[in-house]
Amino acid sequence: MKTKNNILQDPYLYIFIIFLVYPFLPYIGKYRSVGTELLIWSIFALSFNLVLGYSGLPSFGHGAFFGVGTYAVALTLLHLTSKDVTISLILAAFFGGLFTFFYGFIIKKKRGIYFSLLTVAFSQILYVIGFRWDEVTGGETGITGLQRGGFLGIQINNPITYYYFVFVLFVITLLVIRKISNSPVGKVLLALKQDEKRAQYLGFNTERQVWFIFTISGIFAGLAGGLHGLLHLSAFSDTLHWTKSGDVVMATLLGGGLANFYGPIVGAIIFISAREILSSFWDNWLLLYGLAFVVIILFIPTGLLGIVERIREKKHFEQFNNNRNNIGSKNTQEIT
Amino acid sequence: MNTTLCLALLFNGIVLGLIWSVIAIGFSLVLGVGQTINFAHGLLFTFGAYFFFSISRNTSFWIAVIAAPILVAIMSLFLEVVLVRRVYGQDPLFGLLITFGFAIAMEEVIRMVWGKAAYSVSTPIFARGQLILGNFVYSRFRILLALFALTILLLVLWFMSKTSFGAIVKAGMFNSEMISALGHNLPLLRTLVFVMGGLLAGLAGVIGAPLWSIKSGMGTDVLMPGFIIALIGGLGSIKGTIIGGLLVGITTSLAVLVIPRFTDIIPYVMLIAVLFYKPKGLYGEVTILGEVRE
Amino acid sequence: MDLLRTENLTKKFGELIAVNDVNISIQEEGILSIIGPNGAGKTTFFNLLTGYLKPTSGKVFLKGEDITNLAPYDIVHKKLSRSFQIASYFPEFTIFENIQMGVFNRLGYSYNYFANINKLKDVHKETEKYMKMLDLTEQKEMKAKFLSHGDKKILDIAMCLTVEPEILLLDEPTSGVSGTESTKVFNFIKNLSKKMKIVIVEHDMDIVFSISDRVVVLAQGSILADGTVEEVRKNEDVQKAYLGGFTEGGYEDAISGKSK
Repeated sequence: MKTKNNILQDPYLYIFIIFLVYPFLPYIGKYRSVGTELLIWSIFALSFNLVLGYSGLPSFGHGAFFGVGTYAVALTLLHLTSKDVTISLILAAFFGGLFTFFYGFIIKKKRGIYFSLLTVAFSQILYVIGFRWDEVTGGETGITGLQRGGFLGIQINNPITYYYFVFVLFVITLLVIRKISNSPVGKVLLALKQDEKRAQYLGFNTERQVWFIFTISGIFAGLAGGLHGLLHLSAFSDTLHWTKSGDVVMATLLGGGLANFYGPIVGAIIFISAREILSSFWDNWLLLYGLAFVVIILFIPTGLLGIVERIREKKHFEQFNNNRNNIGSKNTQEIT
Repeated sequence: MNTTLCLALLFNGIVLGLIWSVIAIGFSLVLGVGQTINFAHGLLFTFGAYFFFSISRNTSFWIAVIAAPILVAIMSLFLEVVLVRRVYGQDPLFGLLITFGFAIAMEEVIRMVWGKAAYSVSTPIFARGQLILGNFVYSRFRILLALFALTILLLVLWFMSKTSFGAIVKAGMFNSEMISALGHNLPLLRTLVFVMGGLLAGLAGVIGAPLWSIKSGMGTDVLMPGFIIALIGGLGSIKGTIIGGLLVGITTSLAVLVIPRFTDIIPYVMLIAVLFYKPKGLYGEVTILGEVRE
Repeated sequence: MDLLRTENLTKKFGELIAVNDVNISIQEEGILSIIGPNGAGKTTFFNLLTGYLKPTSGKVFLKGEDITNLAPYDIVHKKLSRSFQIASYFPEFTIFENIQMGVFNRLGYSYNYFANINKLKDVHKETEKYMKMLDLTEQKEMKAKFLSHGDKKILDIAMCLTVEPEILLLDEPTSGVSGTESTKVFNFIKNLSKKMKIVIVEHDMDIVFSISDRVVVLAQGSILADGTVEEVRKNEDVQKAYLGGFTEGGYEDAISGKSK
């Protein structure tokens, strides 16, 4: 489809500028770790949306691949090298991809309810390992007290350099995932979400497509998890628990990942900010967290940007309806 | 290897399997007829346990046994009418999320009402004592609880295979459109099945309350084995669910001998293995929305 | 050599035998129609031929090659394509994008993660070619879900063409389409039959008898009759089956195309 690439239709530049100047904004700029958290969750939600929004696969265990990345970073810093995080982050992405590659193969033919439940099951396997295997993962207490060191010789120890380090990785991720979503594969994914049988009879091996995109998603989820570990300098097994996967689903849905490429970023920004604010002064904030799911599903299932898409679609329909009436009765016979 | 230990583990496994089966059947019925993943099923179980605890402490044990499941059934009616009904026929993720969100919010309510501390139920007088076979000793209360679970399972089995309502429910699991085509009221059927699932979750809560410590997160812990057994047994098969429950329960329990720290993994690994080789589950007659193609 | 051949093809759903021991050879020319009363196993038979269902027993051969256990996408690559009873297309895509999908695959872009779809000139050119054939160029930017029912059916068939099939299986191409539109759909099909083998499952007897070169009648999963239009029309078993099959409308309606 040919669309004019103006800023309104592709808010990439806005997002870039907002995150670029964030640390210097009044009032909120000083919460650098929150800003970093937003960037990390945007990476995670964007990668997750390749599975949920593009392919229509209701994964509910993606938090596990995030967690795998966190542990990969924590363990390499602990046992391999604590001076440089390069290898750690590469391994975080690698293991995120390896686990999704392996598991994607097992569930590539499953859809709908089965897909959801099997992703939950896999996430739980990793959780039990993380929780019980004390001598490696630290079990219940997790791994703490890590050092961030440098990245290829660049010091990323202070919060602001780390913020910009994550920012660069965020921009790269955004560009790569945007590239994929505009590629033939991006179209194939959208197609198999709408009518998989049709896509198969056009000759697409949709199972393999699902398997591959699940893996790609896992690579970025692992990277996000690794960055998260570096931000908090720790790894805990509860990030692997299936209920934690609700977070990324929430972020993606809330922003409108089902309808718009940038939905996950919008959702991640709103969700993480709300979580940070609420959980800091209200013990029972989970009550609101739970109710938010209910409200989203009942009232805005396509998310915030989904509302924009719906208005756009209405215009689209009206436009062609007018065209039709102008052309005359050609091709307009409707069956009731 | 120590025979008495093995025997005790086997008994534990059977008790565990039977309770898990009760939870799994309720989950499975809703999944089959409503095509909805009810992640609030664990919450209903938790409420069963809390109601049982509070009522039995304030009135009597037997009133609590009757009242707790009924209260949970009423709660599930409310949940179905207000929320779940709106997501039937939509993306399966929606049903999952709406029940998930509801469960998280209500767990928080439980913590606000009952506090964060865990409770336990004391053994009633009639059930105290031990079963002794040679040098094998086993809690009499546990055996009674297992028998109670077994009775419930057999009742459900009878209900589903011998009554006409059971036949309609089964048909609904095969093909929910067929239900409307046959002139039955599908929305009503779904509501009834959801309430039935709630009742079973409540009963499971009553059984689980004395076995495990009562805390807000207890439902999340049993939800997982519940859905796993539902899928392993196969949708639409009560027999499969019971056999699946016993299989998973006993294996998990005996796994202590081999991998003492990682027994929790067993159900998940079993699920993946079973579904990889038998996508419909052990006794499943229905494929729901699962496979791309045969 | 036969283009498509089945060998003792059988499909059971539990107790129900949907397709029972069917042997059929499909040669290279003309239009073959498969007819039969409701529940005769026509669609199941199609699903078995195209890899959507796996047969309980028996085999399917395409140009002498066993394709029984191949997945749909592999069968499509062997130049067999099919449409669906309920028009199957991508509702959220524009018509252009719908057609484009098939072209992507044929030109080998299935696993291309980095090409910009708007800059693929070869895909664009190929797609335009089909757009002209469809006579939908004016509406190419319209989402497919806003098309009329008949045009959806044509879109479905056109998408099959993008894989350049040698044999095309059409499952009730006129079901749910109004009278004037169904003529349009059939003219379209008739034109196609000059270029490729076409197999149709159809309810509308009128049209079946007017365009088919060969008719196969299925009843209760088995072949009841097989021959030219004249032979089938005179076959007594067929007449009986239809009297039994269409108890409401009866044979006359079935023959005159008012079955639905």
